[in-house]
Amino acid sequence: MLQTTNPEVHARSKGLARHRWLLRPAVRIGFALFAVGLFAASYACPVWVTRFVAPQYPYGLHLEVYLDGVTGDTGEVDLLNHYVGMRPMERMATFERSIALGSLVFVCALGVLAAGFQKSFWQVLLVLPLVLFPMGMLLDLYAWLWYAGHSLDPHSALNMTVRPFTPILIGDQRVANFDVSSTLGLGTYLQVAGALLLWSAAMVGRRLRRIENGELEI
Amino acid sequence: MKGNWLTWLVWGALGVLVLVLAFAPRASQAPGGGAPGAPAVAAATGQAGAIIQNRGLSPEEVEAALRTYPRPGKFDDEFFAFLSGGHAGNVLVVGLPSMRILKTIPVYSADSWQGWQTGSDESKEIVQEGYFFKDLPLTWGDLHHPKLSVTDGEYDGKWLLAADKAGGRLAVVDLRDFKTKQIVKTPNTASDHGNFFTPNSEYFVTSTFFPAPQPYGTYEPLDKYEEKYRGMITFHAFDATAGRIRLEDSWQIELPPYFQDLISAGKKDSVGWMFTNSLNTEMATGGTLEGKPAMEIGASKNEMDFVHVLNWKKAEELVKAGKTELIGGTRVLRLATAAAEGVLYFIPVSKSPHGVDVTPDGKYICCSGKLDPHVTVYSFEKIQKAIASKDFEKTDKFGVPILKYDSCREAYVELGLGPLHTEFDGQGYGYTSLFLDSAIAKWSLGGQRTKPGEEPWKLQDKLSVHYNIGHLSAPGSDTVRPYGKYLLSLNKWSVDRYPALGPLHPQNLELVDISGDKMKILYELPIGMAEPHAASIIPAEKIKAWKTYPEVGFDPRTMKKSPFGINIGQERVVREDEHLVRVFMTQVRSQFRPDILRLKEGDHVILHVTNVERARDATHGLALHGHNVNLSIDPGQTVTVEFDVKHQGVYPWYCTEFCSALHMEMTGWMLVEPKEKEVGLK
Repeated sequence: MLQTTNPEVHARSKGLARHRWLLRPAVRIGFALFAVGLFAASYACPVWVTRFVAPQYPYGLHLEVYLDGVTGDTGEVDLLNHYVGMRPMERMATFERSIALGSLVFVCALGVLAAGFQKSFWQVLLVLPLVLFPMGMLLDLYAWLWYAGHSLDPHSALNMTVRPFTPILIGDQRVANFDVSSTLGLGTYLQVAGALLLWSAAMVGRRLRRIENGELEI
Repeated sequence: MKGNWLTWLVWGALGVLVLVLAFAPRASQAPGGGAPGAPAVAAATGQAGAIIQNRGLSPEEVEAALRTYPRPGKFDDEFFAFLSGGHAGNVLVVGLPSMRILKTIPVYSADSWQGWQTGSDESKEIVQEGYFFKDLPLTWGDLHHPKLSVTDGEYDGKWLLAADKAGGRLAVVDLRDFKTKQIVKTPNTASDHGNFFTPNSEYFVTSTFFPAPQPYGTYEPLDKYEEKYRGMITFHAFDATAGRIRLEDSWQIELPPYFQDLISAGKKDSVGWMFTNSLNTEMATGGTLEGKPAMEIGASKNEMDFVHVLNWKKAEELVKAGKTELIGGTRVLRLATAAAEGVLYFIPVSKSPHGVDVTPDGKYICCSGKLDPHVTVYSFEKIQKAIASKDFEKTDKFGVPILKYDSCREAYVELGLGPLHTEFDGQGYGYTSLFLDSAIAKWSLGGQRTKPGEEPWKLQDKLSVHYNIGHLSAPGSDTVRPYGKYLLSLNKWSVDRYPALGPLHPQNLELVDISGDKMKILYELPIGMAEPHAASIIPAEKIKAWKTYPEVGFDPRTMKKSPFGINIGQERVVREDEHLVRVFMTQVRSQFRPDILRLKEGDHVILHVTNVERARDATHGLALHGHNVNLSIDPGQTVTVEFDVKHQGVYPWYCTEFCSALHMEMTGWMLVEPKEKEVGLK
C-alpha cells in the first residue's frame, strides 16, 4: 500500500492510483491482443521494398519481400540477375521462409501469454522475442543480401561490369545501369509498433507495481 | 531511479530501431528536372524569336508548330487515325495532332517485321481463309476504307474492319493487340468497296463496286451485261463479342449492274436505312480496242446516276421470312423481290458521284456528282414522304421505283469542282473534298444546326490542299457523335511538296484545323510506304490496347493460351515419326531453348516458339537461314512454323529484335545430316 505523509507525494500517488485500472486483466489482455494483432498483420505486408529504375525501365521494377516470399517483378529481376550471375530468388532464404509463419504465430502467442502474467520477469521474458523478431529478420535479410551479392558466378556475362557488392538494405545505390532504392516495408513498421507497444505496456505495469509495492519512490 | 540492465538494453535497442526507421528514406523520387525557372523561359523565348526570324516563320506557322509539336517523353496526341494503306494492304496508325506514324498493322500483304505471312502458321491460315482460289495464294490486297466498330452508334474502340477492293475480302483487326484475326472472302463478289457498321455492329455491310455474273466465278459474255451481271450489297453478320464474321449468317441484296460504289448508314432518325451512290447507269462495258468508248467515256454520258435508298431492316425481315434464293451458298434477296417489297428505291443524282454521306443526326444525305460543282442534299423526311405517297418519277428497267428528285432534295449547294466526299464536325458544318480544285469546301448545314446570322446550305470557307484530295476524314464523322477539331486531307499527289526521291512520289497527308471559322493547315506528312485511301479517327482514350499478352503461351488468333505454349523447363524435341519432328522452344533474353536442332534430310519440322518474357516491349524474333522462316514473337506469344528440311547443311538462326546487351549471342544451329545411306557410303 502506498504510505505517504508528504501532501505533495500523496496527491501524486492519488494520481497514480487513478491509473490502476491499467492493471486489470481485461485491459491487459485487450491491449496485448491489439498490439499482437498489429504484429501479426505484418504477415500480410511487405517487410522490405526495393525499386530499380533504368533508362529502359522508366516505370521501374519493384520487389516486395514478405516474411515468407517475394512478389513484384520477380521474373524480370531474376532474368536481369542472371547477367550478373546472381542466384534466383527462389533459392534464397528457403529455410527462413519455411519457418516464417510458424515463428510469427509462436512469438505472437508469447505476446498474448505475457498479458496473463503478473510478474514483470515473465512479462519481459515473453515480450522479448517480439522485440528481437524484427531485428533478427532485418539481420537475416542483410546477411542474404550480402551473400547474394558476394556469391556471383565469376563467369557471368557482366563479370567485368558488376563486381561483388551488397545490395543496399535502406537507401539508394547504383548497380550497373540501375538506380536501386530500398526501404523497409509496412510489415517491419507493424512489427516494431506491436513490439514497442507490448514492451511499453510491460514497463508501465512494472512501474505501477513497483510503486504499489513501495519499491519505487515517486 | 533504478532499473535493471535488461530493461535498459531493450529500451536502447528499440530506440536504435526507431531511429533507423525514422531516417529510413522513403522510395526515392526520380531526380526530376522540375519546371524551368522564369529566366530559362525568357531565354528560350529569346532563342525562339531568333529561330522564327531566321526561318521566316509566319505567326500562323508558329502556332501550327506549337500545336503539333510532340514533346519528347510526353504523349499528348488526342486522336488515333487509322489509315488504309491502299494496295500496300495494311493499316497505318497515326497520332493527331502530332502526325506521327505510330504503327502499321499488316492485313492482306506480308510484313516481315511483324512476321506476318513470312512463315508463321497462324498468319498463313488466317490469310488462306480468304483465298478466292484455294490453291492460289494471294500475297497482297487493296485495303480501302477502314471502319471502327460502334456501340449505340458511337465508336467503342474494339474492332477495326477493312475491305479489300481487289480481292473482295474482309478483314477483322482486334484493337487489343492490333493484329489481324480473320480474313474472309465475301461470297458472290469480285470486289468489296464501300463499307459501314450498323449501329451496334450487328452487321458489317459492304458494296461490291464491280457487277459480275452470279454466282461469281461463272462466265457470261459482256453483251449479256444487263441481263446477267449484278451488284451485291452484303450484310456480313458480325459477332461483336468474339470479333468474328459469321459468313453462314450473312446475306446479300442483289442490285442492278450500276457499280454500287460507296455506302453510308442511316443514323438516329434514319436507322435501318442505308444509302449508296452508283455510277454507270449507262451500263457501259468499255472495249477500247473493239471500237467502243472507254469506260470513263461510256459511263459518263447520262446526266444522272442514282443514289440507292435501301430499307435494310425490311430486307432483314424478308430474309428471315425466307424470301431469298441461295446463290453461291449464300442467301440472296433477289432484285425483283427487293424492288417489289419496298426495300430498294432510286433517287437521281448528278452524274458519276463518288461517295454518299449521312449527317450525324441521320436527317440528311449528301451526294455529289463529281462532274457537277454542287453537293446535293436529300432530306430523309422528304424521302419517306415520297415513298409513302408513291411519288415516283417512273420505274427503272429493273423494276425499281425512281423517286422524284425535286421531292427528295433539300438543298443544292455550290462548292467547287470535283466534289467527292463529305465529312461532318458535329458543329453544323460539312466538309467536302474537291478533287479538281484540290481544295476542301466548308459549308453550313441547314435544319436546327444553323448558326444565328449564318445562311444555311452555303459555302463558308475554302482551303487549298496539295494535291488531288480524295477522301478526307474528321473524327467520328461517320457516327452519331463527331468530335470535330481536326480534319485529315488524304491527297493523292504531292508533286512538288517534297524533293524527288525517284519518280514514285509519296502521298501527302495534311492536318487541317477546323476548330475556328477559317480552316488552317497545321501539318503535312508524306507517306512513302503506302497509298492511304481513307481514314477513321477515334479519340485516343477510347483505345484500350494490351501492353503484353496476359499469360505466357498465348495464341493471338484465339486470344487464349495455346495448347503448344510452354514455359521454361518444358522445352523438348519430339520425333513423332520417322520424318516428323516437333519442337517446343522458348525464348528469353537472350537465349533459345533448345538452341541446337539435330535433324535429318527429309524431316518435316513443326516448331512451336514461346516468348516467355513478361517485360513490356521484350519482343524476340527468329530468322532461319535458307528456309523462308522469319517470326516475330511478342512477350507471352506462341508462334508455330512448319517447314521441310530438304537439304543437308548447317543453318544458323538468330533473334531479329535487338533484345539485350547479349542479343548478338541469341543464336541457334539447325544441323541437317545427310540421309543415312550417304553417311554409310563415306
